[in-house]
Amino acid sequence: MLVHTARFGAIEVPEENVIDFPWGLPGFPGQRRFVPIQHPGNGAIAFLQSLEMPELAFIVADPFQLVAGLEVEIPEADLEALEITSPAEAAVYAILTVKRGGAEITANLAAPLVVNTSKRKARQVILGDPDGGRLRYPLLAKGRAAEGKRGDAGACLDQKSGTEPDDRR
Amino acid sequence: MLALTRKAGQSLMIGDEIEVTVVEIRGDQVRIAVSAPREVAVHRKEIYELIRQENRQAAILPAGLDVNEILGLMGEKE
Repeated sequence: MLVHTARFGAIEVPEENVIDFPWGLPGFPGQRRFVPIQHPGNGAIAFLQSLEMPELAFIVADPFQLVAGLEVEIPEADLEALEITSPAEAAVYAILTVKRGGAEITANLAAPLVVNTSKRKARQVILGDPDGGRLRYPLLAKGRAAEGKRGDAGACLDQKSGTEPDDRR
Repeated sequence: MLALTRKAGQSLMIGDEIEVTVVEIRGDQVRIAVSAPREVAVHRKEIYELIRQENRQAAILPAGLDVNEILGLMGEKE
């Protein structure tokens, strides 16, 4: 199928690559259909291109490649909603935010995208309180205080989530 | 907007499947239980707002952004 994108022009994408977000995404409730476009130079990075809005594309990355030792626990309710029954069916992506014209890149580890890879169904899963640097985990910060910021966020990640989990039965 | 008065232990239904119960009222805090189908995501609004804003910002890619350059810089880090 032909996909119109603002960034790459019109590109041909296999229909089966389309990922459905039945519940949209916070901030983009009407955007349901996206297709990942792998970055040719970097296997860890992809553009998640909206099929409905040519100008809407997120940069996503495999969070486990970005952060060594990262653990992500997907709530039971989200797994059920996505009909994920085994870890082999699940893929996790973090949305990257590019700020200051590319001088700063952060990864959203607080609300990763979880994909059922066999059913091509996905949802942005909010993992409790987005505190401790997980919402804007710094990957790249040119200039001052970059190192300090990175260290802090790492420490916060190590202590796992200090938040009280909302139980859902 | 609909406003309803409820006491601790009382509930309200939103549609046929969503039940919101006032569990406890203590001072200026109210503990609320939500029973909803799995497909319905339930979050504190301020948390949802943060994610919404971050998504909004992530969707704005600077014009003329050289993604290759950024990826190169990220590679340097490792």
